[in-house]
Amino acid sequence: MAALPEHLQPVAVGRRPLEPEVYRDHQRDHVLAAATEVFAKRGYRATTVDHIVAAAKIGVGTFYGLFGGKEECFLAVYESVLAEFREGVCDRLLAEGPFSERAAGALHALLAQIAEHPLSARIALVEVQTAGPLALARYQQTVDAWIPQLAKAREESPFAAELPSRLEEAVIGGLLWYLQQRLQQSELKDPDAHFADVLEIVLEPYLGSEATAALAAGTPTSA
Amino acid sequence: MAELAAEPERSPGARERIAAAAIDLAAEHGYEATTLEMLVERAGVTRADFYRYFDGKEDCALQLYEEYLGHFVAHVLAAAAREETWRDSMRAGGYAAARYVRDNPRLAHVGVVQMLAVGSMAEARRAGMMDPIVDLIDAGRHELADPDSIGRGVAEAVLGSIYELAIRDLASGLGTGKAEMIVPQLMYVAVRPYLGHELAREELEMPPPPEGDPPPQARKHSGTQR
Repeated sequence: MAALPEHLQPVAVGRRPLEPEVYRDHQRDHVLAAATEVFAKRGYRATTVDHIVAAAKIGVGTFYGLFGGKEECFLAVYESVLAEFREGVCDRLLAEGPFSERAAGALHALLAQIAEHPLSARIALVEVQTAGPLALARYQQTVDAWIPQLAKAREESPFAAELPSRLEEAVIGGLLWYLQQRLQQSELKDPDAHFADVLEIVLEPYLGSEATAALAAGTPTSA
Repeated sequence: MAELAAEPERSPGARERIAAAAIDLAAEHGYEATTLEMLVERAGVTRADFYRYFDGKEDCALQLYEEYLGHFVAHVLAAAAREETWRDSMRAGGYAAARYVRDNPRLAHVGVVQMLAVGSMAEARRAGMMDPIVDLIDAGRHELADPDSIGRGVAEAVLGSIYELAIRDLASGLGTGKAEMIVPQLMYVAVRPYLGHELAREELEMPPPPEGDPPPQARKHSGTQR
């Protein structure tokens, strides 16, 4: 074909009006950031569209141009928060090396993200549970997606054949509860202070206490 | 206003009827969709009766939640207190909880699934009221050579594991009848941090204790009850 590849197309220079979609996306991000803060601080149920509109400094019409209402806005906030968290955590999980070390790295990254973005963490861990049936179903889906990931720890477990069938659900539930309680008490400011607990909760059931202690100390276990 | 004056006597049992109707309606329609109109009609009370006991729908939900959760926690702790060792008391508490859920399916569904809609107030009360159960789990630390080697956070996580499995089974609607079946798995998760894998594994094979208030020598009993 005669057409040049996209990166060789001539580019117009100088000021151009923003494409409507670009502007819209930008505005949407701006409203999501404001809404994250409002939902996290007031709680989902106490938040109204007026609160969000005021915090984002936009008109009510603009809000409804972007979202069907409060619930839809919350679901969009939840997705954006998840994407933010997923990035750092998944990178660590998909790195090289034995699963246990990657999992430990991912858990540390998760604690660091929570410490850095406590409001986002509140959305992802606490408010999502109270934001109605759609949000709850989406939350449950997110949690479910971690079950097969965590189940990979069985491959490194000396007790693999003897582990209970629903261990992953139990472990993930335990981790979520632990994080939720700490978050409620604003105690998740230092990732290192909770790392040993989190490893004990998530990986000890698969690896046993010695291997888990070695991970906590940051020394890779020799197989 | 005249209506209030015209009804000087409380309708007998009004609060109990409101409580029963509230649980039924939340189980049938969900917390959000339940209105005050529906509630007073089902309970057969007046609005004035309702406002004698509660400030509104949310207050009603929170008050009842606190009462029922308190009752549940006391029931579990009483069962645990009948046993001598920590491990036996954990198992007794676990089965007491599962049987409570089995015998009160609507209450369990509303308490675990529907109360999420009430939001952070309910969350806060639940966390505080569950403390004695965290204490029970955390007492497992005395089984360790060094009780300080595991933090209380681990006991909280065990409670979270229990809650997660309960919420899954209750939300999917197959929970209550089979509530007892998850106890061995949860016992594994609960005792493992304190007693290690080998002893925890025994829990997976352990038969459920007999129903009802066990006589003092019930621990000799070994019959299964499936």
